[in-house]
Amino acid sequence: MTLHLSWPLRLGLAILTAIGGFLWLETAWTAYQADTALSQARALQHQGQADRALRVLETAQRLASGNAELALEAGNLHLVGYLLEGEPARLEEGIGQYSRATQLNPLEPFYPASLGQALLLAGRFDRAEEALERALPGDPHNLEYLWWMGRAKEGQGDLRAAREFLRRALEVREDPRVRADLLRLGEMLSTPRSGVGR
Amino acid sequence: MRTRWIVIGVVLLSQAIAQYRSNAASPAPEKPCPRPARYWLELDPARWPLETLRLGGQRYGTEPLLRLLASEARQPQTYLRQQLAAAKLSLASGAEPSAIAATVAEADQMLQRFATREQMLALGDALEAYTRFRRYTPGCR
Repeated sequence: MTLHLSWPLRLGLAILTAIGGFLWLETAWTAYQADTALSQARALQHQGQADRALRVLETAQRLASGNAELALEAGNLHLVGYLLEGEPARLEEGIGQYSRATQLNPLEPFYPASLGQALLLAGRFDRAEEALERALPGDPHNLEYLWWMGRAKEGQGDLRAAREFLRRALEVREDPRVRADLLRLGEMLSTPRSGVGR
Repeated sequence: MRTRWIVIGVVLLSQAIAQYRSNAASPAPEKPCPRPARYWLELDPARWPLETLRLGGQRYGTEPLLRLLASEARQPQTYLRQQLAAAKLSLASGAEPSAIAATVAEADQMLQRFATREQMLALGDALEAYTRFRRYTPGCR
């Protein structure tokens, strides 16, 4: 079967195909660069070169600005920097990167949850709650999200709601981190330990 | 006729190159798993990701860290400090931070203020569950 097309239509199709092919190639190339940067950054961090790892990720972010995974990885590097050195500026950088990841991929609950945790560490409990409210519908039985939500409630002084979220977290499974928080709250001191975990 | 073959050729070539590019991208390596205090004690400190570590506002060099990691005492503060050191060394080497960041920050604060024996042991257990039992890093079990 032969399809007869006029020459302007043929030319138009050829141009469209070339543009489509170029865009496809560009997308694949960008994904390749992002993956390579992630690999390189993880290898550098493993060698204790966190600063170089961060520079690699920042460069990759300029090339692949729509990649949420790069933002998450950069956020994690800043978060670890904060935990190791206690510099609040690193935490702010981390919050910025997690916000970016959340904006780039609003459907993935792990990004707003990571943002929520970083905001908790910064003591911004109301904004942490907002972020975690976006994460929880996507993964409502996630122990960590429930636990962090408990912390966000506690930070805002709503101890009753905090206790409720921590108990919900322990209904998912017994966990020493959540147990430690309940102990700190002082709410579990009079409650039998065996009745909560599964 | 020739134009049609050119179009088909461009499409096939772009598909092939795009496929090659995406396959050629080496998958990002898995993050390293958290390691317990004993691992860091046995590893040559020259291979640690950090030379010094801040624990509860106090900075530790290699020698005090080795003594801390070797400690067998179950004294709550020493235990918490030891588990915090193992967790921080794991984080510095690239282990997944999301599940333990809040606990690490809490432990750092706890070492700088009054806390009960039970609170310190509970937090130490939580850190040990991360480094030794790898409860929060499913890919590492």
